[in-house]
Amino acid sequence: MAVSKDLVAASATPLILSILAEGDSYGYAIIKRVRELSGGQMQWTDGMLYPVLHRLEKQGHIESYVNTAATGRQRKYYRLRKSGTKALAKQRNQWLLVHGTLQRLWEKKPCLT
Amino acid sequence: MSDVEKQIEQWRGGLSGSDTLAGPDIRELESHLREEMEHLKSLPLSDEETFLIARHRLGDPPTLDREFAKVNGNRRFLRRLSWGIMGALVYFAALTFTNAASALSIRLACLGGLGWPAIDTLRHAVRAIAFLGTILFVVWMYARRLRRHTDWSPQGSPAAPAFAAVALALGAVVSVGVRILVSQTAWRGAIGPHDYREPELWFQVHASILLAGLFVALCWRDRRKAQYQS
Repeated sequence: MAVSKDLVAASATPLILSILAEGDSYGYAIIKRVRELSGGQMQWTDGMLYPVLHRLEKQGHIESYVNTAATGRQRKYYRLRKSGTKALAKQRNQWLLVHGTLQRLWEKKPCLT
Repeated sequence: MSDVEKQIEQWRGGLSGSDTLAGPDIRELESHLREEMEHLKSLPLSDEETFLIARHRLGDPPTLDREFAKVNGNRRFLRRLSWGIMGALVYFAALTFTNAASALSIRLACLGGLGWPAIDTLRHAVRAIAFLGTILFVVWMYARRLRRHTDWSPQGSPAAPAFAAVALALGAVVSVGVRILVSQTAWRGAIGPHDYREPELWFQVHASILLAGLFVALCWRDRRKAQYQS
């Protein structure tokens, strides 16, 4: 079951912020992590990640720095900033609220007959 | 250079035609592409196949262009503006060139002992050639840009020279407009009948300086931003 495009787009920000809360990361690793966590169910078009990262950087939630890997390849790493941690807490509360509401609606009701 | 490196370079070239993707954006996408290709190497695939899969996963350029426009919208506007300014500058440069060629042809014809009707014909021919030269220059620029535009490059890119062409036409309309306005004023006796080309020339010179300044400022801003981001 593939997740709809709208839902993927909406969940991109909390996903990125949560992954960066685990530690600094770069584009490819973030995509890989999402793929692993969702068991390959969340299909991102990889290139879509970068505009979201750049927007978060512009908003001041994350910051970037260039690091050279052992292979000699330069990677642009992203790091969560204080305002990003706050934004993540806010997002988390909103998603939990939506999740909780849906869960209550979908809970199995006792059979009355 | 291996075939796959050539393909990567072609892919990169296609992306660089985009109005929204800046140099550092392309470098970041390329790094992602290479990383994905390396990951795919563990599967029984040829180099070309790993490139095709990685390219597909990254997304097609029109989509990338559209998505990056959401964060780099400013860049798209400024790029188009600079193309527009370039078009207007080409018009003014062509006009100066046409006028100079025309004046030179008259002088040479006089020295050559040609009579007036012949000089007039020559003058018109030179003006027509100079004008056509400008049009051909723009078409050549457009064609050069289109050659780089393969199926895999963003759809937005060929629009840029079109902005230059529109600006060229706009430059012509404004310039002729100023001329008509000034000649009308001259006809009403506000300025002498022989001076009416002067304000047009004044307008062209000042507009050229202003536009050239603006163009340099835009290019400088682009460069500085690219340096800052890398």
